Amino acid sequence: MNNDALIEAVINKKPGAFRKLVEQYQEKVINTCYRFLRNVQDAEDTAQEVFMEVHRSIENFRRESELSTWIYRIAVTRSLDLIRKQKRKKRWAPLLSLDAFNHSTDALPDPESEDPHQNLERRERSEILARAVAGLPANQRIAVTLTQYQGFSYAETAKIMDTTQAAVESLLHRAKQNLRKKLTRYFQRFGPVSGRQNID
Amino acid sequence: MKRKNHIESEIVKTLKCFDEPGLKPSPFFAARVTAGIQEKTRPEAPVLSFRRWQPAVLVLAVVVNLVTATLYWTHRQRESAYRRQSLTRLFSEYGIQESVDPLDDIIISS
Repeated sequence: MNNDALIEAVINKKPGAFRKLVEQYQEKVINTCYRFLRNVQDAEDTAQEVFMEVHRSIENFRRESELSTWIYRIAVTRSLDLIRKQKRKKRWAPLLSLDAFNHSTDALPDPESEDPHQNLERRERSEILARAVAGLPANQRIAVTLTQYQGFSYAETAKIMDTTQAAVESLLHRAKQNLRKKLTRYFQRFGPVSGRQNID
Repeated sequence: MKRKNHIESEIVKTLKCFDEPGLKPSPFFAARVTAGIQEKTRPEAPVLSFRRWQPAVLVLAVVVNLVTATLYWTHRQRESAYRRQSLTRLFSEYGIQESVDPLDDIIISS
Protein backbone atom coordinates (compact mmCIF):
# COMPACT_ATOMS: atom_id res chain seq x y z
CA MET A 1 0.00 0.00 0.00
CA ASN A 2 1.54 3.35 -0.99
CA ASN A 3 1.35 6.43 1.22
CA ASP A 4 -1.63 8.02 -0.59
CA ALA A 5 -3.65 4.82 -0.24
CA LEU A 6 -2.62 4.55 3.39
CA ILE A 7 -3.70 8.14 4.10
CA GLU A 8 -7.05 7.52 2.39
CA ALA A 9 -7.53 4.32 4.36
CA VAL A 10 -6.81 6.10 7.65
CA ILE A 11 -9.15 8.99 6.78
CA ASN A 12 -11.90 6.51 5.85
CA LYS A 13 -11.27 4.66 9.14
CA LYS A 14 -10.49 1.42 7.36
CA PRO A 15 -9.82 -1.26 10.01
CA GLY A 16 -6.14 -1.79 10.68
CA ALA A 17 -5.03 1.13 8.50
CA PHE A 18 -3.88 3.37 11.30
CA ARG A 19 -2.12 0.49 13.03
CA LYS A 20 -0.25 -0.14 9.78
CA LEU A 21 0.80 3.52 9.64
CA VAL A 22 2.06 3.34 13.23
CA GLU A 23 3.99 0.16 12.56
CA GLN A 24 5.55 1.69 9.47
CA TYR A 25 6.88 4.80 11.20
CA GLN A 26 7.15 3.88 14.91
CA GLU A 27 10.84 2.99 14.96
CA LYS A 28 12.02 6.19 13.36
CA VAL A 29 9.61 8.37 15.34
CA ILE A 30 10.57 6.81 18.69
CA ASN A 31 14.25 7.14 17.87
CA THR A 32 13.89 10.73 16.70
CA CYS A 33 12.22 11.57 20.02
CA TYR A 34 14.83 9.56 21.92
CA ARG A 35 17.76 11.41 20.33
CA PHE A 36 16.33 14.68 21.61
CA LEU A 37 15.02 13.53 24.97
CA ARG A 38 17.63 10.88 25.94
CA ASN A 39 15.01 9.03 27.98
CA VAL A 40 13.24 5.89 26.79
CA GLN A 41 9.99 6.52 28.67
CA ASP A 42 9.73 10.16 27.55
CA ALA A 43 10.55 9.11 23.98
CA GLU A 44 7.76 6.51 23.90
CA ASP A 45 5.24 8.86 25.52
CA THR A 46 6.11 11.62 23.05
CA ALA A 47 5.96 9.20 20.11
CA GLN A 48 2.48 8.17 21.27
CA GLU A 49 1.42 11.84 21.30
CA VAL A 50 2.89 12.25 17.82
CA PHE A 51 0.76 9.42 16.43
CA MET A 52 -2.31 10.69 18.25
CA GLU A 53 -1.80 14.09 16.62
CA VAL A 54 -1.33 12.38 13.26
CA HIS A 55 -4.62 10.54 13.78
CA ARG A 56 -6.39 13.74 14.81
CA SER A 57 -5.17 15.92 11.96
CA ILE A 58 -4.54 13.58 9.04
CA GLU A 59 -7.70 14.89 7.35
CA ASN A 60 -6.08 18.33 7.25
CA PHE A 61 -2.79 17.00 5.86
CA ARG A 62 -2.39 18.92 2.59
CA ARG A 63 0.05 16.47 0.99
CA GLU A 64 2.41 19.26 0.00
CA SER A 65 5.13 17.24 1.64
CA GLU A 66 5.71 13.54 2.14
CA LEU A 67 3.71 11.83 4.90
CA SER A 68 6.98 10.81 6.58
CA THR A 69 8.29 14.41 6.53
CA TRP A 70 5.07 15.62 8.14
CA ILE A 71 5.23 12.93 10.85
CA TYR A 72 8.92 13.52 11.65
CA ARG A 73 8.29 17.26 11.80
CA ILE A 74 5.60 16.66 14.43
CA ALA A 75 8.04 14.40 16.30
CA VAL A 76 10.74 17.09 16.35
CA THR A 77 8.30 19.81 17.44
CA ARG A 78 6.81 17.64 20.20
CA SER A 79 10.24 16.64 21.50
CA LEU A 80 11.45 20.24 21.62
CA ASP A 81 8.20 21.26 23.35
CA LEU A 82 8.83 18.66 26.03
CA ILE A 83 12.43 19.83 26.49
CA ARG A 84 11.16 23.40 26.93
CA LYS A 85 8.58 22.21 29.48
CA GLN A 86 11.21 20.22 31.37
CA LYS A 87 13.54 23.24 31.44
CA ARG A 88 10.74 25.41 32.82
CA LYS A 89 10.01 22.78 35.47
CA LYS A 90 13.68 22.57 36.40
CA ARG A 91 13.87 26.31 36.84
CA TRP A 92 11.14 26.17 39.46
CA ALA A 93 12.03 22.89 41.09
CA PRO A 94 15.80 22.40 41.34
CA LEU A 95 15.31 19.13 43.20
CA LEU A 96 13.42 17.64 40.29
CA SER A 97 16.37 18.28 38.02
CA LEU A 98 18.38 15.71 39.96
CA ASP A 99 15.69 13.18 39.21
CA ALA A 100 15.65 14.22 35.55
CA PHE A 101 19.41 13.84 35.40
CA ASN A 102 19.14 10.29 36.69
CA HIS A 103 16.56 9.47 34.06
CA SER A 104 18.43 11.20 31.30
CA THR A 105 21.24 8.71 31.47
CA ASP A 106 19.06 5.90 30.13
CA ALA A 107 21.39 3.65 28.29
CA LEU A 108 20.75 2.31 24.84
CA PRO A 109 21.02 -1.40 24.29
CA ASP A 110 24.65 -2.38 24.24
CA PRO A 111 26.31 -2.66 20.88
CA GLU A 112 27.50 -6.19 20.38
CA SER A 113 30.96 -5.77 21.68
CA GLU A 114 32.68 -8.53 23.56
CA ASP A 115 35.08 -6.30 25.47
CA PRO A 116 33.33 -4.75 28.50
CA HIS A 117 36.00 -2.03 28.73
CA GLN A 118 35.41 -1.00 25.16
CA ASN A 119 31.69 -1.15 25.78
CA LEU A 120 31.92 1.13 28.79
CA GLU A 121 34.18 3.55 26.97
CA ARG A 122 31.81 3.69 24.05
CA ARG A 123 28.86 4.35 26.31
CA GLU A 124 30.69 7.15 28.05
CA ARG A 125 31.67 8.71 24.76
CA SER A 126 28.06 8.48 23.52
CA GLU A 127 26.86 10.22 26.67
CA ILE A 128 29.48 12.98 26.36
CA LEU A 129 28.54 13.50 22.73
CA ALA A 130 24.82 13.53 23.50
CA ARG A 131 25.35 16.19 26.16
CA ALA A 132 27.43 18.26 23.79
CA VAL A 133 24.69 18.00 21.14
CA ALA A 134 22.07 18.95 23.73
CA GLY A 135 24.01 22.14 24.40
CA LEU A 136 23.88 23.31 20.78
CA PRO A 137 21.45 26.02 19.62
CA ALA A 138 18.06 24.50 18.69
CA ASN A 139 18.41 24.58 14.89
CA GLN A 140 21.92 23.13 14.91
CA ARG A 141 20.75 20.46 17.33
CA ILE A 142 17.84 19.45 15.07
CA ALA A 143 20.12 19.31 12.02
CA VAL A 144 22.72 17.18 13.82
CA THR A 145 20.13 14.85 15.34
CA LEU A 146 18.33 14.23 12.08
CA THR A 147 21.40 13.79 9.87
CA GLN A 148 24.01 12.25 12.18
CA TYR A 149 21.90 10.14 14.52
CA GLN A 150 18.87 9.38 12.40
CA GLY A 151 20.60 9.14 9.05
CA PHE A 152 18.26 11.47 7.17
CA SER A 153 19.73 12.95 4.01
CA TYR A 154 20.34 16.70 3.81
CA ALA A 155 17.36 17.01 1.49
CA GLU A 156 15.05 15.14 3.87
CA THR A 157 16.32 17.16 6.83
CA ALA A 158 15.72 20.39 4.92
CA LYS A 159 12.12 19.31 4.27
CA ILE A 160 11.52 18.36 7.90
CA MET A 161 13.02 21.65 9.09
CA ASP A 162 11.17 23.54 6.38
CA THR A 163 14.34 25.15 5.07
CA THR A 164 16.83 24.78 2.21
CA GLN A 165 19.51 22.17 1.81
CA ALA A 166 22.18 24.89 1.84
CA ALA A 167 20.87 26.13 5.17
CA VAL A 168 21.10 22.61 6.61
CA GLU A 169 24.68 22.27 5.37
CA SER A 170 25.58 25.59 6.96
CA LEU A 171 23.89 24.59 10.24
CA LEU A 172 25.81 21.32 10.27
CA HIS A 173 29.10 23.08 9.59
CA ARG A 174 28.54 25.45 12.50
CA ALA A 175 27.29 22.60 14.69
CA LYS A 176 30.46 20.59 14.07
CA GLN A 177 32.62 23.59 14.93
CA ASN A 178 30.66 24.13 18.14
CA LEU A 179 30.84 20.44 19.03
CA ARG A 180 34.60 20.46 18.55
CA LYS A 181 34.89 23.50 20.84
CA LYS A 182 32.70 21.88 23.49
CA LEU A 183 34.56 18.57 23.34
CA THR A 184 37.96 20.26 23.45
CA ARG A 185 36.92 22.13 26.58
CA TYR A 186 35.55 18.92 28.08
CA PHE A 187 38.67 16.83 27.45
CA GLN A 188 40.95 19.63 28.60
CA ARG A 189 39.07 19.71 31.85
CA PHE A 190 38.35 16.04 32.53
CA GLY A 191 41.05 14.28 30.54
CA PRO A 192 40.66 11.46 28.00
CA VAL A 193 37.96 8.81 28.35
CA SER A 194 40.30 5.96 27.45
CA GLY A 195 42.72 6.92 30.22
CA ARG A 196 39.95 6.95 32.78
CA GLN A 197 39.17 3.27 32.21
CA ASN A 198 42.73 2.35 33.20
CA ILE A 199 42.63 4.24 36.49
CA ASP A 200 40.23 1.76 38.10
CA MET B 1 51.93 19.22 21.52
CA LYS B 2 51.47 15.62 22.61
CA ARG B 3 48.54 16.62 24.83
CA LYS B 4 46.96 18.54 21.93
CA ASN B 5 47.18 15.49 19.69
CA HIS B 6 45.73 13.33 22.43
CA ILE B 7 42.72 15.63 22.80
CA GLU B 8 42.26 15.68 19.03
CA SER B 9 42.20 11.88 18.94
CA GLU B 10 39.65 11.86 21.80
CA ILE B 11 37.43 14.26 19.86
CA VAL B 12 37.63 12.17 16.71
CA LYS B 13 36.77 8.99 18.65
CA THR B 14 33.85 10.70 20.39
CA LEU B 15 32.45 12.17 17.18
CA LYS B 16 32.30 8.63 15.77
CA CYS B 17 29.71 7.71 18.41
CA PHE B 18 26.90 9.19 16.34
CA ASP B 19 26.30 5.73 14.94
CA GLU B 20 25.16 4.29 18.27
CA PRO B 21 22.31 1.80 17.88
CA GLY B 22 18.74 3.03 18.12
CA LEU B 23 15.84 1.86 20.25
CA LYS B 24 13.71 -1.08 19.20
CA PRO B 25 10.06 -0.16 19.68
CA SER B 26 8.09 -2.28 22.12
CA PRO B 27 5.89 -4.86 20.32
CA PHE B 28 2.89 -3.35 22.09
CA PHE B 29 3.55 0.22 20.98
CA ALA B 30 0.97 0.22 18.17
CA ALA B 31 -1.63 -1.31 20.51
CA ARG B 32 -0.79 1.37 23.10
CA VAL B 33 -1.31 4.16 20.56
CA THR B 34 -4.60 2.67 19.35
CA ALA B 35 -5.82 2.32 22.95
CA GLY B 36 -4.82 5.92 23.65
CA ILE B 37 -6.82 7.13 20.65
CA GLN B 38 -9.88 5.12 21.66
CA GLU B 39 -9.62 6.53 25.16
CA LYS B 40 -9.50 10.09 23.79
CA THR B 41 -12.36 9.63 21.33
CA ARG B 42 -14.71 7.89 23.78
CA PRO B 43 -17.74 10.14 24.43
CA GLU B 44 -17.73 11.54 27.93
CA ALA B 45 -21.50 11.41 28.36
CA PRO B 46 -22.06 12.62 31.96
CA VAL B 47 -19.53 15.44 31.70
CA LEU B 48 -20.84 16.53 28.32
CA SER B 49 -24.50 16.58 29.41
CA PHE B 50 -23.58 18.57 32.52
CA ARG B 51 -21.68 21.05 30.39
CA ARG B 52 -24.71 21.49 28.16
CA TRP B 53 -26.97 22.13 31.16
CA GLN B 54 -24.46 24.29 33.00
CA PRO B 55 -25.94 27.71 31.92
CA ALA B 56 -29.47 26.57 32.79
CA VAL B 57 -28.33 25.38 36.21
CA LEU B 58 -26.61 28.71 36.78
CA VAL B 59 -29.75 30.70 35.82
CA LEU B 60 -31.87 28.47 38.07
CA ALA B 61 -29.51 29.04 40.99
CA VAL B 62 -29.72 32.82 40.50
CA VAL B 63 -33.55 32.72 40.30
CA VAL B 64 -33.82 30.55 43.45
CA ASN B 65 -31.51 32.96 45.27
CA LEU B 66 -33.58 36.00 44.21
CA VAL B 67 -36.87 34.38 45.28
CA THR B 68 -35.39 33.34 48.62
CA ALA B 69 -34.01 36.82 49.26
CA THR B 70 -37.36 38.47 48.38
CA LEU B 71 -39.28 36.10 50.66
CA TYR B 72 -36.80 36.70 53.47
CA TRP B 73 -37.08 40.50 53.28
CA THR B 74 -40.89 40.47 53.02
CA HIS B 75 -41.15 38.14 55.97
CA ARG B 76 -38.70 40.20 58.02
CA GLN B 77 -40.64 43.42 57.45
CA ARG B 78 -43.88 41.75 58.42
CA GLU B 79 -42.29 40.31 61.55
CA SER B 80 -40.83 43.69 62.57
CA ALA B 81 -44.26 45.33 62.42
CA TYR B 82 -45.75 42.54 64.50
CA ARG B 83 -42.96 42.72 67.07
CA ARG B 84 -43.32 46.47 67.46
CA GLN B 85 -47.05 46.12 67.95
CA SER B 86 -46.64 43.41 70.61
CA LEU B 87 -44.03 45.37 72.52
CA THR B 88 -46.10 48.56 72.55
CA ARG B 89 -49.02 46.56 73.85
CA LEU B 90 -46.80 45.01 76.56
CA PHE B 91 -45.39 48.36 77.66
CA SER B 92 -48.78 49.98 77.83
CA GLU B 93 -50.26 47.03 79.75
CA TYR B 94 -47.57 47.09 82.45
CA GLY B 95 -47.04 50.84 82.41
CA ILE B 96 -43.36 50.53 81.50
CA GLN B 97 -41.61 53.58 80.16
CA GLU B 98 -39.88 52.95 76.91
CA SER B 99 -36.35 54.29 76.92
CA VAL B 100 -35.09 52.55 73.90
CA ASP B 101 -36.32 51.60 70.53
CA PRO B 102 -38.46 48.52 71.12
CA LEU B 103 -37.05 47.02 68.00
CA ASP B 104 -33.61 46.73 69.62
CA ASP B 105 -33.00 43.42 71.22
CA ILE B 106 -31.86 45.01 74.51
CA ILE B 107 -34.68 46.60 76.33
CA ILE B 108 -33.85 48.92 79.20
CA SER B 109 -36.82 49.63 81.34
CA SER B 110 -37.02 51.90 84.35
